[in-house]
Amino acid sequence: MASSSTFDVALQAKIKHHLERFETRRSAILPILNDIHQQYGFVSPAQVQALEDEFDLPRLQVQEVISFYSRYRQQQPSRYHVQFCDNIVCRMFASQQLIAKLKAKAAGCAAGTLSVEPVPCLGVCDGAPAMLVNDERHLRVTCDNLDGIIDDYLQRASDA
Amino acid sequence: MSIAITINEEEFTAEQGQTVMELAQQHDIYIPHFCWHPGLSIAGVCRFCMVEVEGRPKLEIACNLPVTAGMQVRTDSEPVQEAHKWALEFHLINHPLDCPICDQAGECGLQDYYMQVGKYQAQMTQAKVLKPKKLDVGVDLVLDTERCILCSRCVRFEDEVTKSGGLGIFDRGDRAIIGTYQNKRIEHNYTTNLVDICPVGAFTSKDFRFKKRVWFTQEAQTVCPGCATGCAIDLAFNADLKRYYRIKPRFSEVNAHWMCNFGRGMYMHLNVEQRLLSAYSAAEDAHKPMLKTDTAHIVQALAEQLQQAQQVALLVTPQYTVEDYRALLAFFVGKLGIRNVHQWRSRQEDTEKFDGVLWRGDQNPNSRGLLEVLAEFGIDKQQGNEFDTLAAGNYDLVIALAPQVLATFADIETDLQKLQELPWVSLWASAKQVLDYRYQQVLALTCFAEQRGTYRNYAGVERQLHAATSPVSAEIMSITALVEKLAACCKAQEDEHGSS
Ligand code: SF4
Ligand code: SF4
Ligand code: FES
Ligand code: FES
Repeated sequence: MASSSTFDVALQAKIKHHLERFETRRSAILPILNDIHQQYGFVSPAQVQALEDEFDLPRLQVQEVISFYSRYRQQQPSRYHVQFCDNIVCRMFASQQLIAKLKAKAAGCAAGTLSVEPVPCLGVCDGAPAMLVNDERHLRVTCDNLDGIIDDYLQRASDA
Repeated sequence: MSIAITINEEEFTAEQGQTVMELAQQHDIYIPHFCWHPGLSIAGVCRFCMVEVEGRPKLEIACNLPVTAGMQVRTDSEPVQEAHKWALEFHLINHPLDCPICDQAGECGLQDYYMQVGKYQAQMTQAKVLKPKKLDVGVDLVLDTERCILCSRCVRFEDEVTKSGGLGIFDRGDRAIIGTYQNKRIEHNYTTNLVDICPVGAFTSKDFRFKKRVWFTQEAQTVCPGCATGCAIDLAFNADLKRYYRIKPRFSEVNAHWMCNFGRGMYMHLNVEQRLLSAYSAAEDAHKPMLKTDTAHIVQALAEQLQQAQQVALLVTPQYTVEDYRALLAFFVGKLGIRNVHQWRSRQEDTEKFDGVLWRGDQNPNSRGLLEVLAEFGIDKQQGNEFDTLAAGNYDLVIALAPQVLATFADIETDLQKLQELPWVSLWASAKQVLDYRYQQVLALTCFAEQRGTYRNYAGVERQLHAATSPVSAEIMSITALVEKLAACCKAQEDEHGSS
């Protein structure tokens, strides 16, 4: 492996491992993408190209998989990316108003800090309304506690 | 091991491992299908080839259904027809149904089935999903992604036949879209096969689209003259207009279901504006353009020159049929005893070249046939270009058979130039381009689409030509007919001499 790889050594090792695990190399695309996504929060066209150049995985096949699953982001997300459920149960618990409120808040933050995306059911309807901030889950979000939750994150960002 | 099964209560013997679709196809029982193609792997994605199997609760897809002993299949029952109807409705949910402006109309699977089993009253009330309609995705390709029914035939062609992997299906559900990676162009010599196998009008050919509605064309089953492979083709033409429009591959052992893009161009030189339409002879001032003359006069003049000439040579390209070579050599070699036969081939050819799919560097359809006929007349030769040894022969008559497809001779201009420096040349040709030069005479030949005959391909396999139309002009003749005329002229001259 060229030392000038797009991926760090640990990630390279994971990719190699996945490629050897399955009967076909194509089957390894999904776990490889998961690892890249986990590490960077998105999969960029440059990384897709690198998978072809460095690991001989056809970029077209990789792109087919990325575009199939909407969970794969193709651009760098904001520092804090909120996925707010707007499916039926959460909707009954005012998710739409909460999403609107969040959007307004995001607009007031520096670019690249906060973003909001309505998503389908997160599978925790009993905790509706539900949202994910990056990978962390928050249940029973209300107009009252929403600001506090988000401000905690923003505080961490400015501390760092 | 053979297996007995029934289709629509008729008994058939199938081979172990065969699918119901293959068996049905073999016996001309038609099972509607989109994604199945005999030259590609099975995908089973269109769900259109439903059949009913006795004892199984659900309908099955025939394309992926291996025959088993005693299987009883129905292709025409009510549940099957009902399934076709709904599968079709499903495919049409987002299909634009723009047949009036679609070049595929008339040869479209979707359109044909719609006429047969369509529901006619669509039950979808939602607006259709719109997608890009005019993408340039490669050589000869225009892609209308709205019309695509996602059968994946094109994807499999790219993966399995050319192994170039250029196409994929991106996104999902009703946004799923066929395409190349970042709209990159597909650049290889086999792209138009994608147009052929696409069952709808998603892929259309830049060259053919909007030139002619297919129902105004007929097809002749003949052979591509583009190289030594000799792919079987369907040549589309309009007999009334005597115009040629396109070439598509026809299944044969030699080329399976495919052909190359280069071969697709082999109809262009057939049309009247590119053709030599009558005979010509040198003007009195040899630097002036040649003059149109009737064929009888030219043949007469040739017969006279034959009588006078001391050294006569034939210059022959490997682009004519075995039958024509036989007629030619029977007269010149057999009867007149002329043994100076030179092969005329492209200077830049690399006959060893093979692209791994079909196309060969030997761009003559009948190199082997020519050598074999020469051998029949006791002239043993190896394949090679003998054009340059011509000048040294001091011939006072050279009868030259020009290449049919000038484009296959890289240095054709140089050759035609050199040829006009020889003292007396009778050039037999079918391309108008030869009129840019000055020869003693030029005779107009038929082209491959206007005659029957045989080529022998690189492996010695016989390839049979069938005439599409009669020649585009009455002054045009085959080599065989010209030789006959010439022989008759020579005989008349002899008789005259004998009696005087
Ligand atoms: S473009 Fe044509 S061949 Fe390709 S998937 Fe769509 S319908 Fe099938
Ligand atoms: S491979 Fe040769 S014979 Fe076949 S289509 Fe191409 S040029 Fe014609
Ligand atoms: S509806 Fe929101 S988590 Fe299921
Ligand atoms: S032809 Fe059988 S599923 Fe498409």
